[in-house]
Amino acid sequence: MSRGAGERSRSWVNGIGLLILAACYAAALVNVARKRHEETTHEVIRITHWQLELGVREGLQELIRRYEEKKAREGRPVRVIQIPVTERAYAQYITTQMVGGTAPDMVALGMFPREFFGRYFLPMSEALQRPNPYIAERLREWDARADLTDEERRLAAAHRELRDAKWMDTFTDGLRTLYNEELQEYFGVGFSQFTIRIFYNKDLYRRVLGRDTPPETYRQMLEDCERIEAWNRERNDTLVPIASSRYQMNLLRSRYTSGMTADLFREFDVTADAWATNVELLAATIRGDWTPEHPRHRATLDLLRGMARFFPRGFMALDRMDAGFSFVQGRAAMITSGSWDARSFLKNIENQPADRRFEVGIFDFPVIGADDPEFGRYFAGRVSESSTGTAFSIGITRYTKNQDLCVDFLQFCTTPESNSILNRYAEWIPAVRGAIASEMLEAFTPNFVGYYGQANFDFGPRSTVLNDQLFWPFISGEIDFDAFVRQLREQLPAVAALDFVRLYREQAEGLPGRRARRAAYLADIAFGDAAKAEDAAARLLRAWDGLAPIELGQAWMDCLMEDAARTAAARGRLSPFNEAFFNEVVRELGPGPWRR
Amino acid sequence: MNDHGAKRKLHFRSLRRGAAGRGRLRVALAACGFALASAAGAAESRMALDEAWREFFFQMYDSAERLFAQAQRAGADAALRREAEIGAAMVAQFRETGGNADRAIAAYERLLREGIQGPPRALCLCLLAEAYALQGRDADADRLWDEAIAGYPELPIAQDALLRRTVRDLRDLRSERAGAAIRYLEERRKLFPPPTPEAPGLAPAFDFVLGEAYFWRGDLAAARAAWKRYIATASPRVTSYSQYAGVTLRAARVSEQLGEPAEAGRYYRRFVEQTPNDARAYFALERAVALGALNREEVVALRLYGLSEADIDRLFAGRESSP
Repeated sequence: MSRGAGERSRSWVNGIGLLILAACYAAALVNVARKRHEETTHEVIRITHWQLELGVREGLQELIRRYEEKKAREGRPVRVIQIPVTERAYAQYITTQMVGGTAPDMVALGMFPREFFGRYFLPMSEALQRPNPYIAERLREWDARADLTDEERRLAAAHRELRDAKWMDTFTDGLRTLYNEELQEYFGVGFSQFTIRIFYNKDLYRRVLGRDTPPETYRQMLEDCERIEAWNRERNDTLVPIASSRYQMNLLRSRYTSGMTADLFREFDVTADAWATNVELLAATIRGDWTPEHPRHRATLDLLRGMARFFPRGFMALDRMDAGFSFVQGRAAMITSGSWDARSFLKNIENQPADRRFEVGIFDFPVIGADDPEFGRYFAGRVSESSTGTAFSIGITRYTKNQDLCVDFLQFCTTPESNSILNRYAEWIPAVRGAIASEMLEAFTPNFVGYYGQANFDFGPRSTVLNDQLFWPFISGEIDFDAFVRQLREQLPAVAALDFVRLYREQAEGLPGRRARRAAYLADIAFGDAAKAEDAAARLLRAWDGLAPIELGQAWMDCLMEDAARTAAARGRLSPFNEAFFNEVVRELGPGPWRR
Repeated sequence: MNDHGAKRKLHFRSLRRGAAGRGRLRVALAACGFALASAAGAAESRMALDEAWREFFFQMYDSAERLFAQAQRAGADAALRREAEIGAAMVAQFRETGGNADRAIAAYERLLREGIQGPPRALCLCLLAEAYALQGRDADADRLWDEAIAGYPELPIAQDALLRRTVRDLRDLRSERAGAAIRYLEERRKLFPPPTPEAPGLAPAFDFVLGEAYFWRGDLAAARAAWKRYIATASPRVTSYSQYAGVTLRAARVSEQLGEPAEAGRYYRRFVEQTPNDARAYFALERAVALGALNREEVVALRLYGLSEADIDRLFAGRESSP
C-alpha cells in the first residue's frame, strides 16, 4: 500500500472515531436534556440495588410502572428510576455516592459499614408505626367489585387482616432484622425472604432410580447417590450425584452440624437462656465436656464426609457458579442452594436444548432417621427457620428531596398484592404477610419447626480459620479423623486463648461509644421539652439494653471461666489444652482471679 | 379616647418633634434591634445545638465540638450557652481517643459551683461522677451520684445514676462489694416512681442487672424474681426483642431448675406468644406443651408457620420429653 493510501485510510478511521464520539456526545446531551425536562415535569426518585438475579429488575419495574400510572391518574406525575448495580461494584458505588452527597433517594441496604445508617439514612420508625394506607385503599377497590378472582379474594382477605396494622407489623418478621438496636431506629423495609433447600433433577431421578420422589432421610439420600454411581459404572456415564463446591458444602455443613449438635448446644448453655455463646462453648472445652474427640463431633464430620463422597471430584476448586452450571446442564442429580437461585436455575434449564431440559423438584434437607445406625442417636431434628428475616431491604437516604414520596413508593410496594407481584417475577419468597408465593416456592416457605445452634470449635475468628484449615483436607480425604483431632488439639489452645482475649477486651472497647450514646439521651432529658424528654427516656432504657450486658461482660466471663476451671480441677482434668490455654491468656491479660 | 390613649398620642408627638424625643426613638430602635439580634442569636444557637447533639450521638466529635463552640458564641441566651458548655464538656469526656476528662471535670465542677439548677444540674452531677469513677475517685463519684438519686428521683437521669453506680461495683460479681451494690440498688430504686408497663423508667434495666448478678452469685430464686419483675414491666417493644426473649427463657429454665414446672410453662408459653421470631421459639413451644401450659387448640390458634397437624401430633405425643 502506498503512503498516501495509508494516510487516507487512517483519516477515514479517525473520521469514524470522531463521528462515534460526536454521536455519543449528542446522545448524552439528549439524555441529560430529557432527564432535566423530566425533572421539571415530574417528581423523580431513584432506587438502586444489587439484585441482578433473573426477574428481580422486571418485578420491580412492574411495580414502578403501576405506581407511576397510579400517580399520573391522581394528577401527580412521578418518575421512579431503577439503578441496578453489579454486586461487585455496589459497595464502592454506594460509598462514593454517600460520601459525595449524590446518593440515590432509595438504596438497597447492605455491603456498607454500619455507621452509614446513622449518617446517611433517614430513620423510618415513625412511618412504620402507622398503617400502610395502600392496603386499605386496595381493599376498598376490591370491596366495590363483585367479580373478584380466587386470588384477588385471597389477597383481599390478607389486606383486610392487615388494614389497621402498623406498617411494620405487616411484614412476616415485624421487620425485626431491620431494627438497628444501637441507633434504635428502623432504617428500611424488606421485599423478600430467603431460605435454603435442595433442588433435584426429577427426570434423572426417574431415569436412574425409577422414581421422582425425593429422599426423606440422609441414609436414603446416600443410597440414591450410590445407585447413581452404580449407573455411572454400568453405563460408563458421568452423572454427579450432588453438584457442589465449597459454597454448597458450607450450607450443608451448617445445617447438619446444627441438627447433630443442637442438644449439646443447649446442654453447654450455662446462662440458662438455651443458647451457648462462643465463650460458653469454650468453657465446655475447658471443663472437658466438649473435646475434639467427642463422639458427636466425630459423627458430624463423618456424616459430612459421607455426603462429600458424592460431590464431583475436585469440588473444592470449583466455585458456586460451576456447581450450578453442572446442575442446570442436567449432569447432576441434586444441588443445595437458596431460594435466590431458584429462578436462575429454572431459566437456565429452560434455555438448554430440548433434549436436555428437565423437571426440577425441591425438598427440605433430609432428616436423619431415629433408626439410623450411625447418627440416629445424635440427631435432634431439622433446623428452625423461625428467625428468618426480611431481605432485599430498601432504605431512604438523607439526600432525598422527596422523603414523603419515597415512603409512599415503599408503602405501595409492600402491600400483600404488590409484594406478590414482585416476588412472582423474581421467584422469591414474599416478605409481607398474606402475599402469595408462586407454587414452586412453597417448598421454600420458612418453617417454624426445628432446632438451632451448633456446638463447634469456632470460638472466634482465629479458631474458625484453624477449624476450616483442617476441615477441608478432612472432607476431601487428605487427612483422617485422628490427624484432624491431633492437629486441632495441638493448635487450638493458643488460638482459642487469643479469641477469648479478643472477646474479653471487646467488652471494654465497646463501652465508650455506648456510654456516650446513652449520655446523649440524658442530655435530651435535661434540655429537651416534655415530648423530647419522654422519647429520650424510652430510648434511654433501650440504650441500657445494649449497655448493661457489655458493662457486665467481663464480669460474667470471669465467673464462667472460674467455674469451668474449678470443675476441670475437681474432675482432675488439668489437660494439656487447659494448661496451654491458661498460660496464653495469662500472658495476654495478666494474672487474675481464675488466671493463675 | 381615654386618658391613657391621649397621653400616648401626645407622647409620640413629642417624640417626633423634640430632640429629646429623637433620642428616645433611637434608644427604642436600638432595643428592638438588640432584641431581634438576640432572637436571631438564640435561633442560630438552637440550630447549632441541635446539630451538635446529633453529631455527638453519631460520635462525630470534631464537628460536635465545633458546633457546640458555635452555639456558645451565638448564644445570647444563658440557658443555651450553658447547654453548649455542657455539650462541649461531654465531647471532651467521651471522645474515644485523646479524650480530656480533666477539661470535662473542670467544666462540670465550675457549673455546679455556679449553682446550675434543675435537670441540667442532675446531668452535671451524673457526668462528673462518671468522670470521677473512671479516675478511681470512687468516694467523690458516690457522693455526686447519691445527690442526683436523692435530689431528682422523678428524673430518669437519677435512675441512670443508680445503674451506673451499681454496674461500677459489679466488676467482680461474687465479691462483697457487688453484694453491697445489689442491696443498694434494691433499696434506692424504691425512691423512684413505681414502674408500670406504660412508664417503666429504667426498672427493666435494674432487673436485668439484678437478675444477672443474683444468677452468678448462685441465688436462682432471687434471679428469677428479678426476671419476673422485668417481664411484668417490659415487652419486646419497650426493651429490645432479643433481650426480652433471653430474659423470658431464663425465667422459664430457672423455674424448671427450681422445681416449678407450672411457672416454667407459663414463661415458655409467653416466649412463644411474644417472640415467635426467635430461633428458640420451637424449643419453647415444645417445653410449654410438655409442661401443660398450652393445649392443642391453643397451639393451633398461634398459627405458627410450617407447624403441620403431624407436627402438632408429635408435640402432644411427646409430652413427657425432657428439656
